[in-house]
Amino acid sequence: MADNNIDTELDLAGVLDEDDSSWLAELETALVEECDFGSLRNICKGRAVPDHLRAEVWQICLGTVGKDALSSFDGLYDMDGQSQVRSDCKSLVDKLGNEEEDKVSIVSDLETIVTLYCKSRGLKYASSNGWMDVLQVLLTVKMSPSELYNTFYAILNKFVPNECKYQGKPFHLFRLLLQYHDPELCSYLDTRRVTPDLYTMSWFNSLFGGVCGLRVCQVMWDVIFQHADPFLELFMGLVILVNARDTILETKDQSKEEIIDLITSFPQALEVDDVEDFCSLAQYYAQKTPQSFRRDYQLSMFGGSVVSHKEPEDSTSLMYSLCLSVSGEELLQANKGTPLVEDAVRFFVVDCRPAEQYNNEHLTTAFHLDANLMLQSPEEFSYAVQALFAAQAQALAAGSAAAGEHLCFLGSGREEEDQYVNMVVANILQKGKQYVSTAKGGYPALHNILKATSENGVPDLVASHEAADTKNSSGDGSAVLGNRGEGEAGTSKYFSKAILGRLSGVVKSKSAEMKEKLANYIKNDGTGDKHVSSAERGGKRYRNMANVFTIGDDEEGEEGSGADSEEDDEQKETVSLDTWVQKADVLYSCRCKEIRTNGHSFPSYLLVTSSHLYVLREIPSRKGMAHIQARRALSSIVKITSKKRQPELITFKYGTHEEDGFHVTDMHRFYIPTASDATRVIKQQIMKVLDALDS
Amino acid sequence: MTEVLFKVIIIGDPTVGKTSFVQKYVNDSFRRDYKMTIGVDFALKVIKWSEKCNIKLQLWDIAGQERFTSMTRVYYKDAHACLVMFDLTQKGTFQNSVKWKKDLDQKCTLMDGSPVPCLLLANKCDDIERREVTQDEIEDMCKEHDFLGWSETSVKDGIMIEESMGFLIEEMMAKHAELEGFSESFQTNTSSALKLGKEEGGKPSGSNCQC
Repeated sequence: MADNNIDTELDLAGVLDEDDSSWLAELETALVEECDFGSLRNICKGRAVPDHLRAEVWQICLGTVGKDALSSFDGLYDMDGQSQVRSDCKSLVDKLGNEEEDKVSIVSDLETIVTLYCKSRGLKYASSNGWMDVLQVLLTVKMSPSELYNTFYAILNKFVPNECKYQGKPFHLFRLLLQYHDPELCSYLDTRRVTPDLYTMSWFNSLFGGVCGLRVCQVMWDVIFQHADPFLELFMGLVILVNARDTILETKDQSKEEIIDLITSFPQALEVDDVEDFCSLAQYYAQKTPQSFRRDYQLSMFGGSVVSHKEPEDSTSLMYSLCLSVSGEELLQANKGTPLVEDAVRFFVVDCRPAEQYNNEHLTTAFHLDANLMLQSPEEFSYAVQALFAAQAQALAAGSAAAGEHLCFLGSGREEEDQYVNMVVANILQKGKQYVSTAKGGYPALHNILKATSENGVPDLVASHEAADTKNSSGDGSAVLGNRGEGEAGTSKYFSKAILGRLSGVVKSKSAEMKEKLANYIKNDGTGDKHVSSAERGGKRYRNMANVFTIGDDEEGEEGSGADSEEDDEQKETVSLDTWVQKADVLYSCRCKEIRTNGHSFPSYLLVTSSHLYVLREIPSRKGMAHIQARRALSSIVKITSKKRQPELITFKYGTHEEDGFHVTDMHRFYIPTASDATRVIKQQIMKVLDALDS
Repeated sequence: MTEVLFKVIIIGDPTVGKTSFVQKYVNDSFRRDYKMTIGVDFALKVIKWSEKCNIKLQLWDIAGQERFTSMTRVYYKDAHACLVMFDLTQKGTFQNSVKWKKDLDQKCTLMDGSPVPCLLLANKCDDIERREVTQDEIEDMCKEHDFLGWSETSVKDGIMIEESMGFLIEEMMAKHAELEGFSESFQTNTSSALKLGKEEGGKPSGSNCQC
């Protein structure tokens, strides 16, 4: 298999596709033809590139081709701290172990680069700013001094956040992102006063150059530059933390400093063959996050011009933010129709305004939770919150238009009233609820957008006072959602809307029966939202189990070919998910995501029968329906592997057993939240099948 | 039956024991492990004051972490009384009590413009070995910065919790009666300045306990 003459080191690293190196030839041709960034991206598809092409690829990605900024250097090494620059450059070069005669010129090149950079940006050099770490990675890629300068400049400009300093803005944002995805972990670190600036500084100020190995950085940068998303590194940091959450949560007896050192060093453990998964997980988290923060902070956080972009109140507002905030546009957009992107964020809107405002006009899909209830009757409030979670779970189960894993709290946009909304949000956060945000500008912001986009007055997403009246009498305004022309999913929507209507009615009425009713709702809520974390904990178990299969780290490059070639959904059989999952011969089923090598993921179900493994892929446009994506004999599974640092990522390899071992013919990769259970059941079944074959 | 509603806020540096205090007072429970309060927490306690009167006590447990200060200030509004708490085993929290008090007085007053009655609580008095603040120091600060009084407490051992709150409630009830009169007399004339002056020097260290 390894007859492709590609870079051996990378081959070992397992990041390159063994079977398909045709894209490499394509890439080489494209580079000769001086292709643009877009076509480069299409060819590379987020993959690591071979060493000898790296310099060119990076420059195209960073848009530095053909620039010559270095010649504008005045040749004077006369800034403040020049000697510091010189000695840092020298010790960097000493570390690299070049030939003695080369050293002097490299040191001088580096000093020139740093000096010019400082001068042209009006910055002061400081040893702790991470520049040397960036340069160290860049030096491993063969470039001329001028190219080196341009890439260095572009990286700092595009990918290293401004204000990478103690209590800087990026770290507050990072904390909010962490809180959004893992509130428990965030609360623990806050409690221990371990703020992100204390441990992520060396990650973010050098794009992990200061903490990861050089090879790891190269591959990681390949991916980062291709994605051209400066926020990706924040999500990478997030993946690192979330991955190590159990370790972190066990530091109760350690000092703050020990915890900081521990966390800071986590990325060191990354290995080259982890990078691909690491990056796709980071993207996964990025997708699972409301996007509004990007627009809010892109300009001020990246692009270097620190001095001109000074917005002090912006930084403090981030610091004092209770949680992420979502713009009205995103909120409305996200819940419109079927999501275009898998994993896209969908919101469950919680309207916290006083009852009279809510009754006057509200989103039809919103759940009403009067913030004042918290003050007036804490007990009823806690029931209302339980009802909220129950309603959310039911809406999700029913696939309703109101459904969303992401809770977005909506206030009136007036500080006076919204202080109580904040109180509610704080309370929910205190409960450790994941995916909590607030709507920026409150209801008025939504109202204005809807008014602007809808020509005929009351938009169909809104139940206004008059509409609400008829709604109550005629049994749940059929008009509102039906209008959106999504007839096929209609029944489930009405169903859940009815529940929502009842629930918010109940909450408002504050009647004594409420507890009873709610208790019933809550009982039904067995399947609520499960944290990925529980699976992560479970994930450890199976790795220690000895057995015929290699369950351990993926060792070799194994981008399957077959699984990716079957894109023609048309020919797939369409079935009802429920029916299939409940079939008598299905021994085990679980939700999962099929992960393609191109980074795409598809929500799917994995079904195990006594003889076969089925992959049912959900059809986004048809709720409850799925394509049978694959049907594999259990006996054809030759290997099940997982990633050490991401036990939910499971790869199945299919093939045949030969005398000299097994031959892999195809593979599937999944993100399975319940990985340990799933693999256990599958292994058991395979054993049974094999036993039966033997006897 | 009348019902009087009082809003009491509790402020002070992080980890001094504000949340524990509220939990102990309202639910009679104590948890050893510390968990940061996000923003503001809230508890309600109804007290039978007399045959004719119930007191509904809103306890606003305000996060001490600086992260939340800009957000939590709004919760000072309309407070009838305040507890400023510090940790006897961390001198810094004692010194910061002054900041918290000043912050409060800057941000809000009672209806009649007088400062919000404020009790200084010196928590963790059970930990004698690690104690860093003397009673004289507390007494001095209390006088200098117009606290109503001060008391050592131990939320852990349940020392002086009820007593402190009882003292504060008495104070609020007295003020309540006075303000009732005040708002009546407000329309007709303004003799409040005199009244206020009298009140201000009032009963300083009434609750001063020696535990």
